[in-house]
Amino acid sequence: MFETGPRPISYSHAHRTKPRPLILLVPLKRFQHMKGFFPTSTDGNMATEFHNLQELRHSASLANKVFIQRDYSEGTTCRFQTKFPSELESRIERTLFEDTVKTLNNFYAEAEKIGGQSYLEGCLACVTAYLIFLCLETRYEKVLKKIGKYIQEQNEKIYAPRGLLITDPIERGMRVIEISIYEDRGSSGSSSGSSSVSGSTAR
Amino acid sequence: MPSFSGGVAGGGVGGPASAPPRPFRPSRYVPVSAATTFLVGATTLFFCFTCPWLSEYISGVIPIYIAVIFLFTLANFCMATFMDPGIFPRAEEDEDKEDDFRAPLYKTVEIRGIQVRMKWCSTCRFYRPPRCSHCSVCDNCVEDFDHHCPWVNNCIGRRNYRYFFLFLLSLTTHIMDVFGFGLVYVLHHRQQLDTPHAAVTMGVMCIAGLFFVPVAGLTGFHIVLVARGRTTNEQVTGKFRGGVNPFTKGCFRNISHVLCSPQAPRYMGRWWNRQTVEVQPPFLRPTLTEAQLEAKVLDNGIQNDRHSTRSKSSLDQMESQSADTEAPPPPKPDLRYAGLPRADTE
Repeated sequence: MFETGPRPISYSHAHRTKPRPLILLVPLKRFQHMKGFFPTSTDGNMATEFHNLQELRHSASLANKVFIQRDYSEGTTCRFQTKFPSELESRIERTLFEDTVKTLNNFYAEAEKIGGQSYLEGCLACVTAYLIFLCLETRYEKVLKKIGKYIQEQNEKIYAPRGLLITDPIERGMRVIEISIYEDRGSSGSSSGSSSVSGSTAR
Repeated sequence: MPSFSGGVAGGGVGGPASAPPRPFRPSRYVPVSAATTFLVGATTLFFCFTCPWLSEYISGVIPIYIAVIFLFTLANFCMATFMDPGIFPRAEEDEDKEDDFRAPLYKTVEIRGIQVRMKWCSTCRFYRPPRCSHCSVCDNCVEDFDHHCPWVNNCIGRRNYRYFFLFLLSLTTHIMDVFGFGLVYVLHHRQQLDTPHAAVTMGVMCIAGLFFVPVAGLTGFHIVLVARGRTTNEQVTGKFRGGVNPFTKGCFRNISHVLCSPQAPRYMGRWWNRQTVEVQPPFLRPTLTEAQLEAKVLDNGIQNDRHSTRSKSSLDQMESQSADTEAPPPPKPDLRYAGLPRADTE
């Protein structure tokens, strides 16, 4: 039922500084016979929260991250490369990925468009000695909110069901789109609880 | 069903990696304090000593006009001083995984047919986007870095260049106005130059005259830069000397880009709206085409060399197998080898 193909290289968890959704190994009496599969040392604090294993759930853990770089072929306007990364070949259909990136590119193009609205915004700002920025949201910020919603919706509908998560590029200074790839740890008891991850990380 | 939002600390507050706190250096605040003092002080004296006579004997519009120009100057000065110039947050560790210490120092991208180099920033841990530069004073990479201005004690970059430019224009205008109207006052009071009002007016004129030359010079320099679509950094380092500037779009569009483009967002100190999205197996998988299936079979399952497609130089491929399964080595900035010959100074 699940693909058991070769896994991409997984990075050593010990070197990440961010807190991660935890996949824990908890020795339980009923699984003593599977001792060999469980390491005996656990994170004691967390163990108490996850001792309920009756579902013996499948859970996901972060396996890899792909970074979609910016496309600078037309200058410094914000565009991302639509080239389909090879790491996602077995995870998502090419067309879905390209649609997402193209839509994001369109959003950014709309945000950065120099036209009547941006000119008016600038004039209004000048006239009010820039106090207008305290009251009104700039056009770019409005589009960024739309982008945030779009990414959230894409994550929920398309990417999370495929074990992927997109991070809003604004969190990386609009330099990259970070796509986290999650692997199914399988039902061999190597994990407990479910992992729900936010689409972006906190510091 | 235990579930929690991993990685969220408390509420929705979060932010990207920021620079470590820097020691407080009072000497950095001397130029900006001096600039503020001269600007506000001299203008206040002008309003108190010269403007009453001007409004009475010449025109009542003059003080209003000067006040408007002064407020505009002050507003742009404040924006240039306090606005985030477009600081990039530090890259997280995961992003750096692809680039171990053997990765090249420069990455080349083609912008409108012209090769532009992106340099690796060892402090911020990413390849600097085109036109980005690292400010040693602020210890940050700034987008569309122009220069670090000591008079506003801030970097001038993508987000605040417009305000800096308008500040220069309005300050030049203001200096000319103050000097001009001060001169009118002095010429009408040639016989009473020993009065305090005349003395103060002459003092203000001296300050104005003193600052006019460098400010006007800088303004003229920036007018040329804006028209040519260059940053101070590019002009001073001679990046496009004898070459073509890939970032120029023609004089009119360069000017409209500076003055009329939408206000760029800041990257630092944003409030992240953390909404959790559950990633729960089983995962959907795309159906493989026949060709892909065949490739898979022939591959014999050896697909774990994916990082070789991400590595930036061929040298990486030899190291990547063993390097990736263990922790990345501690960053060694001086071991970044400059694979490309440096044709011009950076």
